[in-house]
Amino acid sequence: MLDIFLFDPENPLIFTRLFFWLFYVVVLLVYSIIYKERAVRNAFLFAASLFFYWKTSGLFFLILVFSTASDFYLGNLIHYSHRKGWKKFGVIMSVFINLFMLSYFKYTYFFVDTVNALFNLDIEVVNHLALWSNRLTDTHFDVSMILLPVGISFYTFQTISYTVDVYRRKVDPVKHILDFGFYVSFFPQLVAGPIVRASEFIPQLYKRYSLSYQEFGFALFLILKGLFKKMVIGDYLALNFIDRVFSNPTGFSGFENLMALFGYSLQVYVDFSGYTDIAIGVALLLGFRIPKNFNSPYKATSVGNFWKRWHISLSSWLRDYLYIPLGGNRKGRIMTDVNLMITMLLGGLWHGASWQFLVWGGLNGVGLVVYKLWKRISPYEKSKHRAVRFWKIFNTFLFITFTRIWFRSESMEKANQFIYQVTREFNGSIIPQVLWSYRLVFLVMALGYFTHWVPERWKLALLDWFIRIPIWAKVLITALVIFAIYQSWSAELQPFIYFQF
Amino acid sequence: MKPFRIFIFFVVVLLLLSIIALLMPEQGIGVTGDLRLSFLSVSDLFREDTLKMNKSVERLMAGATVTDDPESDPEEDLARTDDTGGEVPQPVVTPANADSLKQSVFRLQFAEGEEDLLAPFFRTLGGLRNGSVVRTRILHFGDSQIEDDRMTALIRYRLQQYFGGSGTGLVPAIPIFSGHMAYEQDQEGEWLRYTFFGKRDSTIRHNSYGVMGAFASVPIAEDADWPLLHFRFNTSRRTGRFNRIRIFLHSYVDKASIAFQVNDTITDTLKHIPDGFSVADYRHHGAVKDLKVHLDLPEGGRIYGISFESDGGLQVDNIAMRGGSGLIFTKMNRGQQKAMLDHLSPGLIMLQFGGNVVPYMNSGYYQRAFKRELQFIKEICPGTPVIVIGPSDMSIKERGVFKTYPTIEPIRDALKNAALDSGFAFWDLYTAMGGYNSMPSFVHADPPLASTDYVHFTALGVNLVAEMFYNALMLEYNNFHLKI
Repeated sequence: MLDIFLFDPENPLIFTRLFFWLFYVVVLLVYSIIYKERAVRNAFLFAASLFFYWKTSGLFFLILVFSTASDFYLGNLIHYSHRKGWKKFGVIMSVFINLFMLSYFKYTYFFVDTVNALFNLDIEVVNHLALWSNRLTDTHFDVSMILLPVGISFYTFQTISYTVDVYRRKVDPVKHILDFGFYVSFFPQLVAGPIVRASEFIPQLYKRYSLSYQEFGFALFLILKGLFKKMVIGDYLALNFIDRVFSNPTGFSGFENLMALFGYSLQVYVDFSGYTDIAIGVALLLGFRIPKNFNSPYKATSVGNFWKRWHISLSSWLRDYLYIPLGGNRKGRIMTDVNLMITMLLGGLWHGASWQFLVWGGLNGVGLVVYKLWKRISPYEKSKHRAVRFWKIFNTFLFITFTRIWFRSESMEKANQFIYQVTREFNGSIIPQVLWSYRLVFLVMALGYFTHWVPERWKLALLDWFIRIPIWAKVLITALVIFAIYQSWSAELQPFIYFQF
Repeated sequence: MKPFRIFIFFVVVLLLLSIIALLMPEQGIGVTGDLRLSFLSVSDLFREDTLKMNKSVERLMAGATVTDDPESDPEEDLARTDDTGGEVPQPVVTPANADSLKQSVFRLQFAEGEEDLLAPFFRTLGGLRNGSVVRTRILHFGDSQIEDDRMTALIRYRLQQYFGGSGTGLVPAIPIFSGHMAYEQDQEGEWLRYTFFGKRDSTIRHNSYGVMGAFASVPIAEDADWPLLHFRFNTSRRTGRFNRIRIFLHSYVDKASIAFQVNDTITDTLKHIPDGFSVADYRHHGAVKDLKVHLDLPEGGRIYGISFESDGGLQVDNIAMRGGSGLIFTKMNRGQQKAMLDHLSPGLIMLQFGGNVVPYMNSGYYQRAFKRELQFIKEICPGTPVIVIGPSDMSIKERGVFKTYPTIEPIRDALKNAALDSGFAFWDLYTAMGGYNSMPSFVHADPPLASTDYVHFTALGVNLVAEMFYNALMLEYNNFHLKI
């Protein structure tokens, strides 16, 4: 029984586990009693969120608490001080503290490895935070490694947006630290976003709970859709095909490598968007509206359009808090391109601390810059013809999928192996055998792409139907979808098959 | 809609699912031939999670000194050039310490009365150390678990550091894998690869495939354009440094020629190569970064393997047979295998199989069949000790849970019995890596030690188990020398 309250790194509270939903039902029960008392409601959800983070990350929840406290008081300093210098100091301190924490936990190894490689040094990483803790409080943390706290990339960006928005007078500071803690740590979006802006969320802290039957249907639909995308499509493809190929590209033909890449392009979308669909649905059932984070990104007609559809909360954050402060498009064409490249390179690094993510970000930056040039001279830019639109979507999808080589590869060496296999060891003669032997994998992949590319009106019609059906039908469909997800989750492993000897 | 109604909604859904769980039979409901519907049972909720880190795997990871590069060793002096020569270099690593290893090493198993099985090999190794023996080699046969020089690479590197020697050992002329760490390869001409294991080409009527169980058919030269094999070596790696090349080939007519082009200069041409089986032997002093082997076999022929090796020291050959179960030696041409083995003159043979029969074969049959293979090896390689390495753990997924194949242990026992009954040694990889349900811990280790097929090791995982095997071998070596 006590285990339920203890931190267990092997059993985090994540949406795809039964334990999360039991936790959620308990939260709903308490919430249904206290939801009318605004302050109590916010305090309760803050406590539930801290518990959620404790179960996911253990003592790292103290960092979340620190981040909450520092940004709450810095926000107050910025807003209430009369001197401009203090306001500036407050916002600089907030950005510095957040980026320092992010850099310390996420980028230390990357920087040390890079310095070692460049200057032929042998510097070893020491976790000074653990060292201080061990000296001061007699703890026994491992000082030889720095672990990455879950969700730190999201909540540091979220708190930066808060203090900057307070500085820009776009939002008033939160009055009570518990309210602010709730905003920073709200559990549905804490570990994988979306990055919720203070200006979008904080006004909701002071509103009464409201949820229509239609919104309930919409939230439930999002949750079921997200679980289906993540568990039936994403997890199945990853376990039975994609991970095997990317862990050992040279063990597979170029064709299998290429198929794994297309599979991954789908997997990364269904995983990430599925998770945020669930987050939005779970938050909405508690009466909180979180903005949409994905909008059919593989229907994008250009790289620029893709970034307006993919991880919208991050791309708009980068636009508002990096690209525009850098000068945006206000300082001439060349500087616009430079700013775009800087934004995309840093955006790449945000996704992961390695050279592969830098290459991935850089390629996306180049894609944006080249497209800007191309659209000036392209005779088809304004064409509404179906074939033109198809061609644009096709090319954008291919380019984005190509960049995924670096996004998915565990190292630059593995990325090079992947390219070598596709270009030198394609082995087209085994295509029929591969397609047949992995037919279930390819069927799931086809289902995933089909449901992505069907017209929006079809999806809306399904959503509309689900929203309108009576609640008992919703119960049955929910149980049926969970039953179907279980079939996929419990399916036998795709056996390992050799095509070449 | 009030939160309490939403709460009730979730409770009703959970109740409905609980009813399904209670009504659903444990084995599920068959719908069509392959399709079976199942659902959680109450016992599933309280079942131990097999993905939890196996404590013995945690200990293995903590005790290992490997990385994903089998040759990563800061102690290694890459500037040394004398290790391709006949001289036995001084060891640069501390030898395995018998006292400390006894406590942690997962030991080899010997048949009763056969504890000195490895003595001749250890004597030879000792001879390499004191200079009384010039060379010896280990043939490491295995299935896809050793593909791409995996497992062998670390064993080779560690042993060569101590006993001398360098080079890749035997490699196929046309590899199935392109990821060798020591070299990159391509070829000109219509080369084809044929294997006796896996899918056999029915147009090949003979059974002379060489000891690697595979050969490359050499295209017929057209005028001045001889087919060629092109290798680019990474000489910063020990395996990428060698000064002897031996090509094991079969020409259909006599007067075949082979020209060696090293670093863009034709350095030697071997002419009048006879028909039938022969070995083209070429020595080169100095680093070989770029090698082109031009072949003029007037009516074509076969290459059974190419060995890049040092003049002296220890060679360790990686002979991977994808999909193989070690039951092909008796079926291939005996005389041809023997002729090749006589040239190779192995001091030790290692056979690492079993994984491919786990899902399919009866263990009793496998034991008898494998024993026949060992008997055959004993006959064509008399006096050469054999170590059989059993299969690793492999998982099946049942109702969402990964668990060890029920046939793993019987197959492991079949191999062990066959080995010990034949007077050879056995190393139990399955138990060494943690035994029952250790594979999920390998897959979910950080960094991962095995792939998500729950069968194959990652580079790090395979080096970890290879190091365990190396320690087991060195413990016996040290014990042998302590005794004498």
